[in-house]
Amino acid sequence: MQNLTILFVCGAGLGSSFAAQMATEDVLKAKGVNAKLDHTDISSAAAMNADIIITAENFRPQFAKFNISEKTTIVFLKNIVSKVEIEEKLSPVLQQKGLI
Amino acid sequence: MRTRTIELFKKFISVDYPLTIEMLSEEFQISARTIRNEINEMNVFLQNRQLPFISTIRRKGFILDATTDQKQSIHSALLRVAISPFLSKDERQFDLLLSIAFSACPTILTHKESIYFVSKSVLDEDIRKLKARLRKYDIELTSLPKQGMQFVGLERSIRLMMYEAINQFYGNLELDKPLHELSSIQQLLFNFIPHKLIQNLLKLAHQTISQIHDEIYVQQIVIFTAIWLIRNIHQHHLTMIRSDFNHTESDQITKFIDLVCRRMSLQANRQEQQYIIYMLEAFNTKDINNYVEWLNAQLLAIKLVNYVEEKTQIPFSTKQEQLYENLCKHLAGLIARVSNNIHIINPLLDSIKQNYGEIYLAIKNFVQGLETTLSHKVSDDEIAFLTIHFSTFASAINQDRSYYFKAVVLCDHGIATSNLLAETLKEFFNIDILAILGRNDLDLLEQLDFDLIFSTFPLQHTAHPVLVLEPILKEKNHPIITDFLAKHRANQRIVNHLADATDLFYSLVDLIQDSGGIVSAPIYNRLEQCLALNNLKINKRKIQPMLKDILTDEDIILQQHCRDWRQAITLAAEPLLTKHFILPSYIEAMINSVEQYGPYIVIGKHLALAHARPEDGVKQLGVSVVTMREPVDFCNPDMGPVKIIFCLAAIDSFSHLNIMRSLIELINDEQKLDQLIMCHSIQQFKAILFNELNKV
Repeated sequence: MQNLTILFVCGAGLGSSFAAQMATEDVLKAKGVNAKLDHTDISSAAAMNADIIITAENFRPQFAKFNISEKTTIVFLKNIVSKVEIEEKLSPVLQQKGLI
Repeated sequence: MRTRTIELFKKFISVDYPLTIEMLSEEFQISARTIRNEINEMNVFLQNRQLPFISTIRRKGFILDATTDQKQSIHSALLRVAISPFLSKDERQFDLLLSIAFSACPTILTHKESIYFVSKSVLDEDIRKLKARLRKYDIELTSLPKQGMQFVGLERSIRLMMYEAINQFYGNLELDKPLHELSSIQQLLFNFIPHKLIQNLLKLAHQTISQIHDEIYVQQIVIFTAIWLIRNIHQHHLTMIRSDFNHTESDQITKFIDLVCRRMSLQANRQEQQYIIYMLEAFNTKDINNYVEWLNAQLLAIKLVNYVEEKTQIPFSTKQEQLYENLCKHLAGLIARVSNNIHIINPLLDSIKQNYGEIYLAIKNFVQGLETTLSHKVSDDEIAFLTIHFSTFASAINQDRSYYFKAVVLCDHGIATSNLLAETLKEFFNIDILAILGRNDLDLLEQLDFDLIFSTFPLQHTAHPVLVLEPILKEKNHPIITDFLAKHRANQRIVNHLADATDLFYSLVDLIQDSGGIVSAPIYNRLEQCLALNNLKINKRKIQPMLKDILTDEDIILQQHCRDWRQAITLAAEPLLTKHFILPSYIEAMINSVEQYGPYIVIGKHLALAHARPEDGVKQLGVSVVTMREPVDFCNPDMGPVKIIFCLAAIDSFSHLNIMRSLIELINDEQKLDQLIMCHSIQQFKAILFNELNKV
């Protein structure tokens, strides 16, 4: 499974989500995991069929309203640029998908 | 005239009532349109002989209204007409190829249409097939006014292509068979290559070449020589001048070609003579088992050169003929070695991989595609040998290419003097002046893309070589500049030979289509690649600026007091509003976004990144920052109250990449963040933010 896609989501889709993407890039690089990363705003997130969605805790109510595919795992972060938190929450997901 | 037309004629002669299109079409099994065409042609025939026409009677059909005597004379006229046979699909294609390659008259499609008697759409289909066949040889088919259809490609490839086509369409070459025993497709060949010429060549070959006993090879030699002769007679010569043929020439083949030239009174130049001798000799190479392998080596060499050129962007085709020559020989041997599992060791392998990695990798990729056809693995040693052929030419090409330097002139002697200095540099040296700057513009240097600095005053600058000059450049100082340029040869650039931007144009159209109107990171990367492939340079620093490139003094507001988070965001955005980088609607959008989704813009301890969407009112990429005397509550307990707000105005989702990088770096550096929050001076603030504390 080479083409894992991870989508980063925030309100505007270019500030916080972009920041989270960069932080995650470093985490993945350290783990040697290849993935396709992209960032977008919350209104387009549901349609993009990512394997994993990473977003901030405050978007939990919005995501509850969306009809997200069962295959997509959503990771909510308190601090979206914290590599520690990203690694802590992303590792089990990657393990579950058989990537590490 | 065709048999069908004559049969139709007979039908008209035999009846004295009108014939309808439907009747004819059913009887002759041809379309109504073809019948009309036939009738037109018949009428031309009748008109030329001043006989009555076939006319239409309304609602009844066509009739040939002639007397018995007149009908009799039509009949006898028809008996004298030569019947031209229908050509099959293969015959038409072979005829087209022969005609384009060997005919002295231009090959005009509308002519061919009437000769073959096929519709335009049938002929178009033939042409499509031909084009597909030619693609394998990198030959294109184009139609020029007056000259008709033409092959566009390397002459070398065209000859090979014709050689293969003749072998394929003609079948077993039995050139000494009498004409009437040949099939119709075989006869086509002799419409374009005179039968007598072939017989003469065969006779000469048998007289001179005794080293080849196999008659098949003699026939192949003759047909290839015929192709060479006719192409030469029609002034289709090899494109490149080759200077070194360092193989031993066979006496017999040389003598054969000599005799051929004399007999045909052909003044072939030395290059053409060496070419044909080399090609014919290759038929006899021990390494090659049959002409198929020989042909494969030739084609492979052409493809390999093209492939490596495309991958490395080194214009090998400028040395094509020489390189090609060496490669062909080498590839023939290589194919034989690989098929027989003979491994050779290349003692230079490691050094080749290291020094010519790019070429080596390109060849390796190409060869991997071959392994399935060869059904054997090609060793790295073999690839390294191939690389040597290319690397030799790569260095020769580098010397041939013209270079120039992009330079900046620093001068504080007034505009006229600076311009004069710049003009003199441009006139006498391969220097392109990017900018003329004064002593106060030095900080601009970092943002410019250049190679050298010429300055009229000494300066501390380590990123580029600097030469200090008198403002008025005297001729006796020219050697100083020449030496300086020679010393910094490594900084020079290749002259952009891009004259035709058609390919670039198409690549851009594709890109626009693929992007679907959204500028994303992959699109950015592809655009960069596309421009780089066309030797067009972009200033990446300007496209994706650093925080320090766009955060100016006016964008920094320190130690403010704010009532609430709304006021804080508005205040942070003010510098961008003043500069008209954003519209007031953008501020509203930033506030709305927090109201709607919560305080997620607080992305670090005490730090918020206020932003909204480009379409909410951004005119230009910008960043501003405000620090607060008293923390402002954004209702985000995880990050605490906010003491510093960056306001980001992004124009797309990618160009602010470097800015985001700096901000993340900052968030992860709490000590630096604290320093910034405490700071009271803009200069101090910048020094801390940009890690330039030592400069203050």
